[in-house]
Amino acid sequence: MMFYLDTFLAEAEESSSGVDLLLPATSELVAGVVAFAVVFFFVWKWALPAMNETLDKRSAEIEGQIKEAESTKSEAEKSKQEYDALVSNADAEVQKIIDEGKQAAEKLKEDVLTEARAEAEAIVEKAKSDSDAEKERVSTELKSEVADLSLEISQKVASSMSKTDQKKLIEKFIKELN
Amino acid sequence: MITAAETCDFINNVVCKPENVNSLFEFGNFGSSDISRTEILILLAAIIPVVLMFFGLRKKSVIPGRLQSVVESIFTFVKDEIALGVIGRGGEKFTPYLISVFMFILVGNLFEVTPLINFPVTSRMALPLFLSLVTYVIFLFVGIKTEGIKYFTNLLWPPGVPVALKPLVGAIELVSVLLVRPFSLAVRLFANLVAGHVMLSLLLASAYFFVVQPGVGEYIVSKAPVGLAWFTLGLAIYGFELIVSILQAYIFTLLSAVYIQTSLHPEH
Repeated sequence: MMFYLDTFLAEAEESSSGVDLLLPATSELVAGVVAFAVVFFFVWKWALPAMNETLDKRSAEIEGQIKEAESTKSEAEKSKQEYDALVSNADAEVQKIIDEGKQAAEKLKEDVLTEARAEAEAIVEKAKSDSDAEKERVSTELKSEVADLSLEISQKVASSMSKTDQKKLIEKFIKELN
Repeated sequence: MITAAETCDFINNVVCKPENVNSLFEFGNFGSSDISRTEILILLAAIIPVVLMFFGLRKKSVIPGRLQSVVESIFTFVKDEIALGVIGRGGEKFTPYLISVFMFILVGNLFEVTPLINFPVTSRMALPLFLSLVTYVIFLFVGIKTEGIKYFTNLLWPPGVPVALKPLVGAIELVSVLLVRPFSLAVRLFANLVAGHVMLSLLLASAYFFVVQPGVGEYIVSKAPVGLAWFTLGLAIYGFELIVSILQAYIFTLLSAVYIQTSLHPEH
């Protein structure tokens, strides 16, 4: 065991050259300088400008799309307003048509009623006139018959009466008739 | 570590140690060339984010795809939450630097949990030290540009410090801001990734040794469950290290922004 420990300590003492690890190897330093210079110049001259350009392009695109969306929205709102106005006008139009229809129907009804009334009046008038004519005819016929009867009676009475009495009677009769 | 350990003679050596401790963290050479695999990985840590950013941002689509969303999210996060959120007014100038730091460190860190690589390049001191020195230079430069030479006097002796305390405060600020700050920034990243790498290596190497390592074949049946336990724990730590990798990239970037902010807006 002691042998191993001694050997280990001796080896550890020899390996104190581990501090070498903290000293950079010249060739690696050169490689590092070259490598980092490549990365730095690439980022500085190409990558970062390319990314900034991409981001600017994206910002412009997004702004454009936002503006387009706003414009589309405003157009849609305008169309909606027009549509609403159209719908509202359509309601008014329908109401107007209904009103006109109602008015036409009322007028038609009025006309029909007026016509019916006129026809009814005409019928009544005609009936009245017919009735009057009939009445007149009947009256005339009656008068004629009455006259015939009267003449017949008067002839019968007259045949039994004097001429003066006949004459008086005829005058009286005529007077009563009137 | 497994690569280093495979060269050991377990039967004859009680303690198996490589010639140089650095070799534990070295990845070997790439083929027969002199370029080490660490250097290749460092270059990959640059190429991968560049390729991702290129394919993510090349279409510049208004409606982003998945990759574009990921890249844009990272960029927007660093820009809004770190560059503008921490630095505030004037922070946009530092956005490219902060994004580069974040992406570079993130990919470098994530190599730790990338199958077949499993080696974070930020666990080598070169990268953290270089990046922290860049941050250090930036915040010193910004401070001098903002306040002139008064930047150093204000830094060492913040307004309102009693005269008697000025030497002490000046010494503390000199050490903490001008000397320790870049070092602490580098070591924070480096140490976290080294610790994670060592922990993962130990757990997975233990599993490997207990289950697979030839030469201990007579114990394989009895030791295999122990190896599997280490492997299970290693997988759990794997998930933890994934979080650490992202968090450390964020912390390094955030602290860089905080240091720049203190120089840019000393009134805060």
